[in-house]
Amino acid sequence: MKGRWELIVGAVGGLGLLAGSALGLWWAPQERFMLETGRILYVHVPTAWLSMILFTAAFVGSIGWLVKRRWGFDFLSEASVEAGVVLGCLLSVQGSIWAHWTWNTWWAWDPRLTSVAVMVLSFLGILALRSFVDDPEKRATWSATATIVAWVNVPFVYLCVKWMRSLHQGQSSVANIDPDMGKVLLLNTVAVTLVAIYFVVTRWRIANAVHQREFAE
Amino acid sequence: MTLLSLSAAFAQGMPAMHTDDGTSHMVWAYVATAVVYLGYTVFLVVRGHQEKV
Repeated sequence: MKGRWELIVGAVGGLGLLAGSALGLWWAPQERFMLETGRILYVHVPTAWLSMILFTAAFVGSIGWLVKRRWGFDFLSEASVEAGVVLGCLLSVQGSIWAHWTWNTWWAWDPRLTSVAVMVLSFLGILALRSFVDDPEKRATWSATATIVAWVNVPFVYLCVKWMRSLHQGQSSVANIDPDMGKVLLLNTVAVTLVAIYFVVTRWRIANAVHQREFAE
Repeated sequence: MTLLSLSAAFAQGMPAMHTDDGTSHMVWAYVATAVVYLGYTVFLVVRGHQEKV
C-alpha cells in the first residue's frame, strides 16, 4: 500500500462522483423538454469525455512505445485502452436508456452512435489482440499500431455532431447550459477524471507486475 | 420546415408524448453507472491482489 497515491485520488473521485450524482438527481433543475431524463447529462457527458481522453492517452502511449521502446508506454496504452473500453460500453448503455425515452428507440444508426460503436468495438478488438499474442514485444508493437489506426476515429466521434446532421444533440459543456447544471457537470467531470486516473495508474501497475512475471519465467 | 425547427417542435411535444417524466429511465442509467464504476474498481482490486501490486 506504501506509495499508492492513486488510492487517495480514486477515493476523492469516487466521493465526488457520489456527491455530484446526488446533486444531479435531486438538486439540479429539471431540464425543460427532457424532464427527468435530462439528468443523464451529469454522468453521460463526463463518461464520454473521459473515454475519448483515455483512448487519446492510449494513442500517446502507442506512439511512445514505437518511438522510445520503453515498456512504461506500452503499459499506459494497455491500461488506457481497457479503462476506455469500460467507459465506452457504459457510455453506450447510458445513451441507449436515455434514447428509449426521448427517441422511443434503444438504438439509431445515427453518426454519433455509430461512430461510438465503431470506436468501442475497435478498441475492444485491440484488447482481444493483446490476449492472443504471447511474445511481449510483438504484442506491444502490433497493439500500438492498431491503437494508432483505431484512434483516427476519435476526433470524428467528437466532431460528427457539428459536421453531419445527427439525431444526437451537439456537445454539452458548462458554457452552454444552466449555471446550476454547469456546476454539477463540472463537479462530476473532475470526479470522473480522478477516478479515471485511479483506473489507469492501478491498471498500469498490474501491467508492470505481469510484465515482470513474464520476463522472470 | 427546417431541421432545427422540426427538432424544436419535436422537443416541445416530447413531454406530451409520454405518460411518465423519465424517472425510471434515469434510475436505470444511474444504477448502470454505479455498477460499472464499482464493478471495474472491484476487478482492479482483485487483479491487483492476484498480481501482488
